Amino acid sequence: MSVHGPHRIGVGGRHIDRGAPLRFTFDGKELRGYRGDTLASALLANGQRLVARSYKLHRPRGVMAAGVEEPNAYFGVGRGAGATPNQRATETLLEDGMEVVSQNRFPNLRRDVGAVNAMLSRLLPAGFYYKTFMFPRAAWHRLYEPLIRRAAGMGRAPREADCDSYEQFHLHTDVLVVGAGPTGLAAARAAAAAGARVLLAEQTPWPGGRLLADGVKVEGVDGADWAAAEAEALARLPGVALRFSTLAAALYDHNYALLYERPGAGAPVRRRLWRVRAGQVVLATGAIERPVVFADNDRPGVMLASAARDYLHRWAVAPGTRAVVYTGNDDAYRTALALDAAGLQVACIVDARPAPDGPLVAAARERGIRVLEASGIVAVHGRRAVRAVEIAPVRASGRPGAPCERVECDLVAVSGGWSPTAHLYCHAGGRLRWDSTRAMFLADPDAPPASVGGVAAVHLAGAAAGAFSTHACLATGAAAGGRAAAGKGADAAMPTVPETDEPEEVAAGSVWMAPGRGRGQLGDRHFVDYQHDVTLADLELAAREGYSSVEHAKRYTTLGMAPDQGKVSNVPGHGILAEITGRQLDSSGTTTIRPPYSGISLGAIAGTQSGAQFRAVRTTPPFAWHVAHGADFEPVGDWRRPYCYPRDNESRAEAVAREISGVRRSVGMIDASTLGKLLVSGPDAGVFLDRVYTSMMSTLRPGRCRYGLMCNDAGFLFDDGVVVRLDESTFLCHTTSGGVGRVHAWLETWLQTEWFDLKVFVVNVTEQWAQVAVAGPRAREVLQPVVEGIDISEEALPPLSMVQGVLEGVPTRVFSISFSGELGYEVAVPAGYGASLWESLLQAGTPHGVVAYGTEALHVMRAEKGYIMIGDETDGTVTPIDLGLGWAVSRKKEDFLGMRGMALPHLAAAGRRQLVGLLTEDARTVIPDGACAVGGADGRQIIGHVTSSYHSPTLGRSIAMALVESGRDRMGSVLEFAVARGSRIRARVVRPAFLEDAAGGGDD
Amino acid sequence: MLRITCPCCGADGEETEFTRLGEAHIRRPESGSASDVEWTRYLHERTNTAGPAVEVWRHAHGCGKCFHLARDTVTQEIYGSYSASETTTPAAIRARMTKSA
Repeated sequence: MSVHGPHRIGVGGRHIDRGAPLRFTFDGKELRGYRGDTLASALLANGQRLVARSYKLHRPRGVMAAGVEEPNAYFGVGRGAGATPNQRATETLLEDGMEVVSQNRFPNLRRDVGAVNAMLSRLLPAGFYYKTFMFPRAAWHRLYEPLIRRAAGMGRAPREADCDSYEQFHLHTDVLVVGAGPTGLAAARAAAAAGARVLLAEQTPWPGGRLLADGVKVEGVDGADWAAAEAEALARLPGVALRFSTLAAALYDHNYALLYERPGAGAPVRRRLWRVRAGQVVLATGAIERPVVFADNDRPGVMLASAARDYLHRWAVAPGTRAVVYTGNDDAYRTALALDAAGLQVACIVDARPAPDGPLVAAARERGIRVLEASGIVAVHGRRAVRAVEIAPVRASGRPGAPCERVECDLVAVSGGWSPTAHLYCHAGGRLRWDSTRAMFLADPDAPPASVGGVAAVHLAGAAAGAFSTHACLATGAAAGGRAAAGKGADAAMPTVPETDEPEEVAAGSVWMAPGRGRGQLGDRHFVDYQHDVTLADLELAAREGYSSVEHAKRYTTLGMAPDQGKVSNVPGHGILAEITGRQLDSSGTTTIRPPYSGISLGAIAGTQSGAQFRAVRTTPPFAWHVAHGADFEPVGDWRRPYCYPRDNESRAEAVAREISGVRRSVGMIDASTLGKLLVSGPDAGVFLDRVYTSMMSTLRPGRCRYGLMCNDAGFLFDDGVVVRLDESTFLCHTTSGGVGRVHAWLETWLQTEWFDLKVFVVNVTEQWAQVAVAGPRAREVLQPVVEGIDISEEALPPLSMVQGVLEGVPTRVFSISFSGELGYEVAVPAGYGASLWESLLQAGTPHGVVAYGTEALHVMRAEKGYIMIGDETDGTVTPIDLGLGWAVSRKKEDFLGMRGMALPHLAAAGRRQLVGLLTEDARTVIPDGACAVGGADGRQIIGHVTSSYHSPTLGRSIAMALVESGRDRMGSVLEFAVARGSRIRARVVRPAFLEDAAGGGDD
Repeated sequence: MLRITCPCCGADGEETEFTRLGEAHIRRPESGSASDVEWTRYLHERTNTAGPAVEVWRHAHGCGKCFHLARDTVTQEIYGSYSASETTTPAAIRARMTKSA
């Protein structure tokens, strides 16, 4: 016995480096392993059989598998910001100093309070939540949900931001081969020989697949050595790349694959995501062994037969000292022979078949291993680890017969058959069909994955295609590789298939389950899905209650919905369900197999797009000034705009109030550079704009501006802005800050797909121009000296007009437009001069007490005037007529987008919600945005909603706008707005022109 | 993720470079004479084909041009693309679509 674990065998272990011992801790206990160990092999070597508690019933669990399919051994690894929950022990390579904690237990793994659930398991059947937590309804939020949430979930996510880094690569290749077992190696060799660029991705760090543990010889040498040499030889070929520790997680349309790499300790990034576009894909993904479902089949010590010999050969770990092998096929005899050869005891082989035969069976008998035919395991003794099993003949009726024999053992190696790993084939659109003679789901030749350009582009080979012998793997792999590389030019002779030496195997049999004895007859200890604690009894209940299709049973019982995605449980679940319902498996099919094949981390999906790189931020030319002057920014689309500029200890509201009174009293300025600007140019520009705006634009004289509305063809308003005619054939169309991309695409689409006869260009010049709005009674005095040489007198520049000139070589435009109700101008210069324009205006404004104001002041001031904002007063279901903007909708034009839509009966009918102003009865109360107006016959109907609501510093009271049913007929009436906890706010309906009416316009 | 070749600029790009605008060859009725029913059909009724279909796409993050793309919405096989200003599907593409269906 080695010092590095009582279960470590003194010799062998292909992956471990005995010269590199490592220390790690498991739940605080210090343990040792070797470099090359996985967490699972290291724990087993240390005799740690109980490694986890199950999710629902908190049953003790041990390591079940040796690869990606492991359902039990999930751990939290690392600490602090580097902690990662739910790491699969079979895929996690041991690192020195690794801190590992078990999950889903309290206070510790051996004594877990949650295990009381197991005693109550009969009270927690499938559908339990649906049935139990229905009534009373109020208890759901306060009682049931918080309790369930506390008990649910696996592992703990760290609270800190992830300290690791991730990266992504794009890669194009002719042929992607998934899996570096004998099949994948042969496929890569053949594809490379045919002249294709090849990427070979292997999810483990090692080439060889089953050759690593099965002892088959290839070309006269040990298969594992052959695979290692072949992988090295392939890597030296030009155009061939091999990536290990790289899982193919998904295969999408047109052979777009996602590969997930774990670069390992010392790498600059923790995970790497490869976005691969492959001409052809060869899936050499092998097969996954199925467990057998029997009473207490989840006890630590019950392990897949193939995994038992994996641990033995690859990591020199004895998974037990005295084994019982339970199988329905020949392959598991290899495990019995391997254990026997390693000097471990094999108590017996329990074979479900009546008369097992063949070279492997004969070899086992020759070694003196007892074979019990037509038998099954009907009971397991031992709670935290297997101590013994009871074996009985299984009759055709499904009941256990006599005699029943108790066999002491600490390892039960099980094999219910093998399931080809065709997940990626299904991602690509292929379907599977049950092959009853071979007892496995195989590709349905009538439902292949989508072709690319009419040519098959995804090929299954080897065990994934049902070819299980090493010779068949090598042959089908080479054939698939050659097919995938067809047409790549090189006419090289196909490489010859290497010779193998292996015993012949009888066609794989299948055993789904064994009956239980005594208490075990109930089926609620027959685990089908280990990770979600789905039992035979749950499947029987689902079938009894009518959830007998595989898709229904899955959702009712959660079979296969745990983080392991049912890699070992789905097919047995489907097989058992078919037996329960008396159907054939080929008619019940599989559930839909979706990506990813195995979980990939969110960090890898985000790649470098986190923190400051999460999303590009657009900034305007005076951005540095805004930052230097304490702007409180808000996102507007991808832009950052100052919301307000708080001074000293001002609150946001105080700053906004100060900015507004500054504008109303004297003058203010706002950075309006984000405003969308589209240049529409060409001989037909006027005709085109007449069609896309609701008002007439072709009659606009050069140098004049007009407010315009854009509707879709259904009649709904989606953008607005001021249109300026620069010259006879050129218009500058302003759009909302967030809408310019959408509007540009909209205009282009109409020009390219419908009105391609029009001679018009549209260019987005938003970022080419900086624009500053100057507003307030003193606006002209501030602006005039800055644009000296351009006449902005009222005669030269009346409202809604534009002048342009060149100031010190800088093209400058001045528009007299206002969004605040004050005298207002907007000045535009090329973006590079934007910052200096801003500074010049500030300087000129200083004697007048100019204030810089932000978007909130702008919004409040426009609301004081009753101007609409796209996105506040509109939501995609509102017409210009609803908003009282009928004056901006032409009645003269023959056609425009939205004209016919607005005339549809439901838009023209009475009773639509119309825009109104609201004055609360209590002037200090600001109605919450979105609050609903209630009324109607019973006073409980929703008859409208608030679209904008502010405190107006100018009026010293609250103001709001709302869309209310027949709102314009309700002037002067009082509406009630329902707010939180039954309280209501009363407000009088007025026309939305607060400033004007307060100045003496009156309500009429 | 589809791989699409833009017929306007020739770029062979990822689906994310492009925007799907919807079913192709939808005729906009004369707004002066269209009945309410006709207009509503034009606005809302689409075949939502499962199988060979023609759509309008735009190379939004590329050359900006719209074009027609014929593809199978189930298998994602692409049959070809043609100018946005064509009002019918070219015979050669139609033949590939029917053969596949």
